Amino acid sequence: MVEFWDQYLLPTLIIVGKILLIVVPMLVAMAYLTLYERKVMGAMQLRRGPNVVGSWDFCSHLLTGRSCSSRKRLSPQGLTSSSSCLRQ
Amino acid sequence: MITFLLALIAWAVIPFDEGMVLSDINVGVLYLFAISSLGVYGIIVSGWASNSRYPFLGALRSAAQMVSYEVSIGFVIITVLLCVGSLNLSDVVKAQEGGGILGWYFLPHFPMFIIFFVSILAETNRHPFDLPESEAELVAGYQTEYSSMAFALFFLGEYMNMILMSGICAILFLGGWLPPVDIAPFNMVPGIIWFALKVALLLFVFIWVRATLPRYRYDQLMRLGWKVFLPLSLFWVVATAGFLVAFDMVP
Repeated sequence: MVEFWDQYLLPTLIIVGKILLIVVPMLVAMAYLTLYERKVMGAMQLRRGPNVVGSWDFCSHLLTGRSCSSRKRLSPQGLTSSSSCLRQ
Repeated sequence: MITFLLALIAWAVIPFDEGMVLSDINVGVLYLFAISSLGVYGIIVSGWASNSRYPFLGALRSAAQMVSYEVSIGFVIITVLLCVGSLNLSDVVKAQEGGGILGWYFLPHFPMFIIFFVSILAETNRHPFDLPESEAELVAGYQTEYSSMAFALFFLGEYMNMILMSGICAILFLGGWLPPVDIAPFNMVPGIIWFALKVALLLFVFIWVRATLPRYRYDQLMRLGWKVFLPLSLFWVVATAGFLVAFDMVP
């Protein structure tokens, strides 16, 4: 058991931890990138809106993401089963 | 989903700092190139599986566009590799060490830097090359039939790809984690911050281009890819190789 832990489980856990250490900051960075894009484009085109909302804007981004994930999944007519698998 | 996952797994070989890399493989550049080529499949499969004309047309356009610009990206990468002499991404950064900002490859290879940047704009389907999803002609291209989480994954995949491509560009041309000047206040900042700043700078240019330029026409896009970038990058590969051999600077 100790051998199994030392040789397989611990290295696997360390690698999974490293992967999470890369993936989670990347996802956060991507979320902020959408905000960054909105801010920069708003400033460049002199639009009011993105400039006025301030840092609360990020919350509205999170809400958009939440409503995106809770909405119903639509599917076009006439799909074969293989092509609907590919839509995942 | 495929697009998103591919953009994520490519991060495994990106060095954030000296030694800060998940797997320091010796064919890192080749791996990145292979993974970014696979990104085409995610889009073409999604367009085909929508069972509709507009998404399919958008997917075909996207496939043709990404394949043609990948050629010039390949040549640009070869040019950098000729100077580095290694396919390992950490070695690519280490080869740019010394001399601060003057040692980075965007100065000697300035035309290649520009070509690479325009090609990654086309590769990630960003403005002004966002023909696959042009709203006016194709409704929204390959993502017309997608909604909720499936659409969100496309969206996230596109943005992940942007960050990834900016990261590759920062490593190949802007010296990765190296500080711009190697004196006291600058080289005390950890390398990951310099890397993040360079990526943020490139992402700013991505957005700047989007806010400024109108969309290309499709034939102009193809002409730019095959008749301008391809011969120019091919010439630059030969010129670099000739220069390195003539002055005996081959690494």
